[in-house]
Order: sequence, then structure tokens, then C-alpha cells
Amino acid sequence: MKLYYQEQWRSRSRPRGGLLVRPHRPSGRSQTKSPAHRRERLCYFLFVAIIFAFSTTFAQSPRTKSLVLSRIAEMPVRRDFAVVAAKLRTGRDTAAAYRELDTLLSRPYGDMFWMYGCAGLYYATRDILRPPYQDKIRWCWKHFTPYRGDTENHFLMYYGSLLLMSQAWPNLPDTDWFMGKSSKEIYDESKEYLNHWIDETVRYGQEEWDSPRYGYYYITPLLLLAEYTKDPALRHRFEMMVEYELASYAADYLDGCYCGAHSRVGDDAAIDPRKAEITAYGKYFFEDSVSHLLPDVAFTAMTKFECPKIIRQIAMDRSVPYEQFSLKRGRQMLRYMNKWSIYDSTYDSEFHAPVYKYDYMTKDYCLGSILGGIVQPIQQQSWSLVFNSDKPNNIITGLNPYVSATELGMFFPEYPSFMLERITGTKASYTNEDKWVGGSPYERIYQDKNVLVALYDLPDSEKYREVDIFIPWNAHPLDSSRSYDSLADYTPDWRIFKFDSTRVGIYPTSDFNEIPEQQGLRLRMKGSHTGYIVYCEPSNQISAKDFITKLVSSDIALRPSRVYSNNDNGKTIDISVMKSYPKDWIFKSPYLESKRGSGILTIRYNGEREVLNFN
Amino acid sequence: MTRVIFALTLLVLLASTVHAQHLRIFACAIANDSTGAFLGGSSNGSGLYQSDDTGKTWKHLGWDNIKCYSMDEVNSSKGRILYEATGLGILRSTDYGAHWKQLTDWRISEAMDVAVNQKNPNEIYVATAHGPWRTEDGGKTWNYLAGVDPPYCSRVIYAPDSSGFAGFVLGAESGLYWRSETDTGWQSSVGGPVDVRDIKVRIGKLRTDERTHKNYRIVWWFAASAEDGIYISRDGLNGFSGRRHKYREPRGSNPIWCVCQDEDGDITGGPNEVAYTQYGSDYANSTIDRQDTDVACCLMIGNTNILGRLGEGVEIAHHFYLPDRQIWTLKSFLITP
Repeated sequence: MKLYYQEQWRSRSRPRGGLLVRPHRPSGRSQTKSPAHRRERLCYFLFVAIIFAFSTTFAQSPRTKSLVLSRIAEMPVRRDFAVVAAKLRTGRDTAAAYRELDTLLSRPYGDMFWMYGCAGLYYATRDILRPPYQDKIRWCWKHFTPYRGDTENHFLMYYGSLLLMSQAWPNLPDTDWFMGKSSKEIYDESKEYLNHWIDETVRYGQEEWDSPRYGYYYITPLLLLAEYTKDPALRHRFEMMVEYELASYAADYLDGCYCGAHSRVGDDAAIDPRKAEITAYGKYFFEDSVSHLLPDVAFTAMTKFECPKIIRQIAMDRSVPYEQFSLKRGRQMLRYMNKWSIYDSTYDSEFHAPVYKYDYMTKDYCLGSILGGIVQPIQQQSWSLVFNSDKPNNIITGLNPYVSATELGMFFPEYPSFMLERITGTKASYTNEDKWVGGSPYERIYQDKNVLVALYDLPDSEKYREVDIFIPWNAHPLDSSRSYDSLADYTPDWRIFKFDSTRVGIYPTSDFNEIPEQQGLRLRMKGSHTGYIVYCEPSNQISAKDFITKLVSSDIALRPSRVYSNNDNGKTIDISVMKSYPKDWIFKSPYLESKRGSGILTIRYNGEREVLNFN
Repeated sequence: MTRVIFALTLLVLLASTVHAQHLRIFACAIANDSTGAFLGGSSNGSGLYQSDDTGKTWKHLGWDNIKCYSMDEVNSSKGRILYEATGLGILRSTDYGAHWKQLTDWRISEAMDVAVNQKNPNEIYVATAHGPWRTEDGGKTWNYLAGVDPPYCSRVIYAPDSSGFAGFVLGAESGLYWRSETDTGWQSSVGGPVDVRDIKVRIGKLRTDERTHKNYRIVWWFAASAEDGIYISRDGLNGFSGRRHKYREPRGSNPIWCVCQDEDGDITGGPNEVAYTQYGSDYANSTIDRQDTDVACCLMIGNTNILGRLGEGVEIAHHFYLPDRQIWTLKSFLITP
């Protein structure tokens, strides 16, 4: 018996995973309940039961939600609203939770992180929260003056929290709010900003795109908004936005790792992807797992939201390799607009550099990149090769450790030279030559499926005229049994490794050193004009011997417009450095499709379709 | 008898008014200098401070945790109506800073400076890192003022009639811009200072031309460039076009962040030096302190020179107040509480 999926625009009343309808029975067929018909009905019910059982197993089941809450409630009390909320909701250690809440409400902690946690606790526990604490929270929102911050995630947290809290106390005059606006003014302004942000993001691309660190701070406030906003139309937009963020994450997800290039990643997660904050949500939403819990998941577990099945399937099914093109926006520049890349000086009318992102996903690895340049300050990761492995440090990545007042002045309003002097207090690794995060205006990256070429033209004026590649210790070298020598200069040659089921070759285009470090090996290339080629293949498709032979004999040719393997005239490696990327698509892949400016994301999986229409 | 009582009352009233007026100094801090209180969302230790004893003691005013870049007042209110330019837009107080209201919405952020039209206080200009904005109705509605490209601007002043130009002057990354009360768009200097961080106007004493016997005043315009030093014009704002009025020797292209002056001379400060120049002397004869200064702002009050440093607070005669604050702007006003 066939079951058809009826395509339709998403609506709240539609069951998750699509609407299952029976086919229209052709007229003239017998309606008698024959044994065959009974078998057919039995099959139908069995099928539905299997679907139901499958959904229950892999959605965020009540059991998982309960487990999340109890695990987070078991965490030692700390200055975190989500932990306090979990303790109150589960009734565990409530005395300590209230003591901590006293602390959290005793003085202004300064910013939007405090705000969304406070709003989350208020809504998630208000049916059980002792009245004096509800009054205390009200007092705080009258007297504390939390800062709004300056990034996309800051604004989402700030206005998301204000929308919910002005909704909670809807008729207060301007004298009852810290910023001197009435409840209505606050609600209207927050709604206007959040709608504006959603419209810009779905039509022209996100600014803080694909962030393993800050994705966590998008999902939590959006989930709070999707759960507690009263206005049905607005709530529906927030629900769709949660799904939008999760769909984007799912397409780059490989066994707990957020793959490809990232706008902002923490120092640890840059070379160990599962250490990213967002892993907590990947495990929870895509795998129904509590293996990487962070406190905010408690807020999520207290909502009705479940990740749509189609998004979970996209996150988990790696049976067929696929390419994904996506278009993002760089962080809005304040000055030096033409210096984000020495190869591209374009930007839009609001001073965002264009970000063309490309991923090649397989069941064994994901190789992903952007074209280079500085599109986000300090924490950018321009490319990565992530292996499907349960080992730590399952990543290879590279960069030019660029440090400059220009980069800081491009995105922050204070004096560039002063910021450079003092930045180590806030972002300690920024000025470190050995850092593993950061973009460079001298970087050009070109990728086609399993081949990536990165080229660098470093002027003499730069502080660090070198390029580094991180290779984890878990990668086994295939081409040499010698020990690493930091002092030796090696001439350009393939370095070949195997990481679980993936073979990787790396070809530095200039002399390099090998520097052993705690978590892996640093290949350091020096010189004004340098770069590297990364080539990978699944180990079940090629033997080690053939892989080595293929690369060593490739006779790499570096031409101004083309990098290719000369021995087979580009059959193994052929990268055009003039390659153009699709510019009209926010997403373009077998799973996600969104035309620039449309405000519509179509999610596809195995014949099913879900449409997020923000218009 | 009635006349005597009236006269005495009047005298007392007048005397009290005179004595109540005093100078209040405001210091705007964007952060303290502790680890983590810098860049982005960090704002610990920031805010607006005031001193009524020429900088010896300071009182925090208004919001905590808010990057305060600058402020202005409605002069006729004698310190009652204050505006604060902050990371989250413009705040206003109508009770000497006791209570504040946010006037702007989500569209305006990183407000680096604010200036009130002192003849029409409902007109207010804001210099933001994303470009200039204006309200003509006291903050109810705000409009973006296009024409500054690239739009980053960090200073805006309202110039009085006596300067020879009545209107607003804007210091921007891309140069110096001005807009009179009758202009519909910006005018700008060509080939003049870029990356303008401070603008000051000094109106000289009344003089008489010996030949024509006409009275006149010399008006000096100063523009501090973070790219290449201090520019001075005696020919009005148009005098900044071209480079002939630039004073750069002997300091080459040192960045200058601030300039202030009184009748005895002026001070220029920046990341690498602070220079004291006597009135009328050439900049070549300045006394220069080439410490690691990070002087972002300055004031000259009588014989007292006040420097606002990034990370070291307010310096007065080698004493430091608000010691770990990053002071972005210093201003002073006569107030009557």
C-alpha cells in the first residue's frame, strides 16, 4: 500500500513530519471487506504504528526531557538561571536554588545573558515560583540596567527577553521599566526588531552564521519565544525560526560536530568540534541524547518543542554525499570597508561583506570552507575538514594568524590601536601567533568537493607572515615513520594521514616546519606567497598504497588561475581559482533550498518536503 | 519699609543665584580596565560620572553597565536636562541625572556623541559608529542623515552663531562634515583632515581693527585627526579644505584623539603623547610628554589641566581619579542645582 505525502505550507496544526493521507480510492473498486482488504488495513495500522514508534524514539521524548531536567537539576548550584529553574521544576535542592536565585537577583550582572536567563526562569517556573520571587524579578526589571551589547546574538537575547517580559506585565507605565519606556512601547519595539532580524536573516543571510559557540545563544532565546509568546502569528514565526536554525545546523552536522566554516568558534572547539556549546543541542535534538548537556537545555526540555523529523533525518542520514552552497553576511563593518579582503572589496548597502560558504558532506568526513577574508572579527574559522569519528580532535583546519588594529577597528567602535593593546584581557588568544581561530584578508580558499586549495599573499608589514595547519594526533601518518622535528625545514611535499575511515593528503606549497603540540601537529609554512592543498578520500575506496602513489605522483602545478595535478591533467586535482559561487541562493543543496530575497526555505528529505515561509 | 524689605529680598535672591552656579565636570567611561570589561558586550565599570570639585571626587550618575561615550546638556536648563550618548543609544535625564529614559530604539547603537541645538533644544544630532542621526522633536522620532561615507563618526558639536557658523559639525572617519540650520545636506572638507576624533572652536577676544576701527574676533577651528595630527583653520570650516592649515611638525603623522584650549594655550592628546602649546605659539614649540598616554579627552579649567585617559581614569596634576576607568569624553558645564 502506498502512502502519499501531501505538500502544503507549514501550519501549527499540521503533524510533525508531514501529513500522511490515504490515496483516493478509484471509483468502481469493490468496497467489500475482503481478506485482502483486511490485510491491507492491518498493514496500514502496522505502518502507522512503526512510524509512531520511530518518532517517539527519536524525537525529544518525555523520557528524555525528564532525564535532561533531572540531570541538570543534579548539577551543583551555580550562577545560572537554567540550573535554578531545573531544580525548582524537579523539586530537587530547592532551598539552594532559591538562595542562588537571591544572588542572581541581588545585583545587576550587566547584560543580555542575565536577561534571557531571567526571562526563561520566570516563564518556565512561574506556576511554582514563590510570589516574593516573582515580585523580586519585577523589581529587577524596573531597576537593573542590563546592557544591550553589539552583536546579532546579543540583540536577539535582549529584545527576545524584553518581548516576553513586557508581555508578562503588559500595562505598566514607563516609570516601571529600567529604560523608561512603557510595556507597550517595549513590546512594540522588541517585536519590530525581532521581525526585522528574521526578515533580514531569511532573505539575505545570517551575520553570525553557523556558530558552534553562539548558535547555543540563538536556539535558547528563540525556543523561549516560540514557547511563551502569546501572539499566535508571532509565535509561529519564532517556531519557524527555531526550525530554520536547526535545519541549517542539521545540514552541517556530522555525529555531534558542526562542520565547515564558522563565523565564531571558541578556541577549544576550533580544534575539537564536540567541545562547542551547540553540541548540547545537536545531541538533544538530532539524537535524543543527553550526552553533552549544558544548562540551557533545561529550558528547552520544559517546552513542548520537538525537532521536526525531517530535520533530524537530514542531520543523521549521511548515506549519500552532497554539496551545499550557502550565502551569509559578514558582520556589519564600521570602517575600513574595503580591507576585509585584498581580493574582494565588495559589500552590500549596509556594509556586510558577502560570505559564500560551501560544504561537501560524506559519511566519512565533511570538508567545508568560505572564500577567505575577514567577515567576522577574532573567532572566524575559514575552513575545516571534520572526520566522522568518536575520537577527540577529529578535525584538520588552517589559517594565517592575522593580528591587526584594522580588523578590530573594522567591527568595534573604539580606537583601533588601543583595542589592539588591550584585547588580550578579553580575547586572550587573539594576538597569539599559535592561535587556531581568526580570518585573514590575505587568505583565498577554493574548494571542489574533496579538494581544497588555500593561497596566501602575506606582505612584509604583517606581524605573522606564516600559515599554520592543525593535524590531530589521532591522525596516523602514512608516509613516514620519522619523528617530527620543529627545527627542520622541509621542502614542499605531500604529508599523508589516515583518520579513522578517511585518508588525507596535505601539500604545503612552500617550505614548512613540523611543530608537535599537545593536541596535534602544527605544519607551519613561512614566506610571502604560500598555501596548501588538502585532498581526502574514504579509506574503503582506495588503499593506502594507491592513495600515496596517486598524490606523490600528481606533480602539482600552481598556475595563476588553476591548481591541478599535472600528471593526469587535472583528473585528481583541478581547482579553478576563478571559480564563482551561486550568488542567488541562501541555501542550495539536496536538503535545503532558499532563493535569496524569497524568505522561503524549502526542506527536503527522501521525497518529503517542508516549507518555512516567512512572508 | 516695604521698599527696604523688597530690596533686601532681591539682593539675597540674586546673591544666592550667583553663588549657586558652579562648574560641574562630567566624565564618560566606556569600561573599567579589568580583564573582560572590554569590547563587545562587556561594559563593567562604565557609565557617566560627575564632579563638583574640579575632579577631586566623583559620583556615578544613572545607569550601571552602560558604555558612555559622551554627553551634552541643554545649556538653558543649567544642568537639569542631560543627554548621554551610549552603546545602546541616547538617554535623557530631566532631573540632573537622577532618572534616565532611553530615547532611541533598536536602530541606533554605538552612539559616540550627542549635541543639542542650544537655540532649539528639540533638535539633537547623534554621531554613531553606523552614521549620523537627528531628531527634530526632542527624541520622539529619529532620522538617519545619509551622505557620510563611510559612515563611522565619533564627534558632533553644535557651533554657536559667534563662531561664524550656526549649525552642527561632524567628525567622521571620512572627514569633517557640517550642516547649517538651513542646509538640507552635509557639506564637507575636501582634502582636509580624515578620521576626525575631536572638534573644537575657540572664539577670540573682541578686537578692533586699527585702520578700519571695526570690531572683530578671530575664530579658530581645531580638528584632531587620528590619522595625522591636528588641523587648525582661521578661515571657518571651509578653511579645512586642502592641507595648508595642518599643524603637524614636529610630530609628523602622530594620531591625535583630542584637543582643548583656553586663553593661555591648548592641549592635544593621543595614544602616544600629550602636548601643551602656549597661546599664539607655533606647534613646533609645544611641550610634549611622550609617555604611553592614551589621552582620549581633555579639559582646561582655569589653571587646571584635566586629562581623560583610557584605562587610567582622570588625571589632574599627576593625580589619578576614577583610576581604572577608560575615559572617553570630559565635559564641563555651569549648573544651578
